[in-house]
Amino acid sequence: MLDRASTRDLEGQTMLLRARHVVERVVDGELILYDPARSRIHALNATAAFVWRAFDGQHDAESIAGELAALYPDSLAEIAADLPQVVRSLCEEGLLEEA
Amino acid sequence: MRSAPPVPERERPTPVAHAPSQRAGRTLLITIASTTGAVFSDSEEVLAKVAAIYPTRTIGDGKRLASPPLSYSVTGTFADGDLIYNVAAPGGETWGCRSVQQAVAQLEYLITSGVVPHLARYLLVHAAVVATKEGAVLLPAASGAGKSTLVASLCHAGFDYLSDEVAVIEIGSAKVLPFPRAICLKDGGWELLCKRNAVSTSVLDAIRCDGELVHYLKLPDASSRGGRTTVRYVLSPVRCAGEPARVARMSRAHAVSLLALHSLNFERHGSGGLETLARLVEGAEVYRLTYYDLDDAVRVISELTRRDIARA
Repeated sequence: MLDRASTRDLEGQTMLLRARHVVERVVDGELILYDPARSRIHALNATAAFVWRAFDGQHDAESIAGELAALYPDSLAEIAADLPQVVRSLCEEGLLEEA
Repeated sequence: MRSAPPVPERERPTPVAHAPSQRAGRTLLITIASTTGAVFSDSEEVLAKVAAIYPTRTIGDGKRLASPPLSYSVTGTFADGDLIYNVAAPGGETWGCRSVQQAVAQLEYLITSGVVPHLARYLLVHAAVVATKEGAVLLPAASGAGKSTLVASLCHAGFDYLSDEVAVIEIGSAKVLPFPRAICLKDGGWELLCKRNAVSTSVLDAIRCDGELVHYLKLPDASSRGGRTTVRYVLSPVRCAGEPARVARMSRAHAVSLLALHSLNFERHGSGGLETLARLVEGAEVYRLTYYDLDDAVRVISELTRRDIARA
């Protein structure tokens, strides 16, 4: 399991992957994740869902930040501020694991 | 408002060391979802109260089923000149009660807690359920949130009664089954409904083993005929002092989370439970209901759920 130190910033970060045991279900366009290991359900907002899906083992947090920046060029400051916290939250909730 | 009287220890049901031996009496069968329980008693007064709380059928004088899944008895013995009603549950647990009312309330408490594990193949959610011709209205909320009081008001306004405590949801189809037990009101809810003239009499008033004074309303006839019903509305009720009744749309994803949170056995069903809840909300409209006044809440719910009837 990741510790918090490894997710402190996006540069040089351990490659992360969507946790393989997590079950996903889309309801009305919104992503729901069920973690049977912790028996928890998470309803992700659009940004968190994009980020979670992007961790496919081929992209790291830096490249995902770049993709978000390309999609939302007017929100670069928010992306830089919020993305690390989104990644940390997903890790802390057990929804991302080391690739 | 009259507050519940303090409950002397001697008035509460008390555990007893053993159950008395079998004697002449009758057995009633109670079926909740697919689970059948048998209640034997040597007191016709007890049996009449049980029949007022549950839809029952009899199996004849003095007879007992060979091995029903759940077997209860209420039999009388004398102790120090007092008649004690001994309530025995599966597993040998026995409680001594000083009145018919207390014995039947204790029995109901034991039956409800005994039945729930036997409904494990269903998804169980802490929720009240009522219905119109178009389908069921699910009201998920924790214990003490006012579900029973709200359900009693809705039934008084013409909604069909399915449950005031547990929604029994079929895995896969996401349809809801009735949990046919009389509406059980705590004293605060009873007072509120009496003031609104929404209730006049109860079939049973008693102090349960947890010290709670409760009032049972007569089980509505329609509830015993209910089958599997599609959920058309999910309303998450929140009672806030002074707030006018209103509904606000909730995201269906959030509704899935909410229903899972209120589930008694979601962990057991895992991804099957997730799929069932997803199907349930996809077929329903989901709202948060904020209210304070019961009449106001009933009006808003009636307007919401009957709009489809007007459009049909």
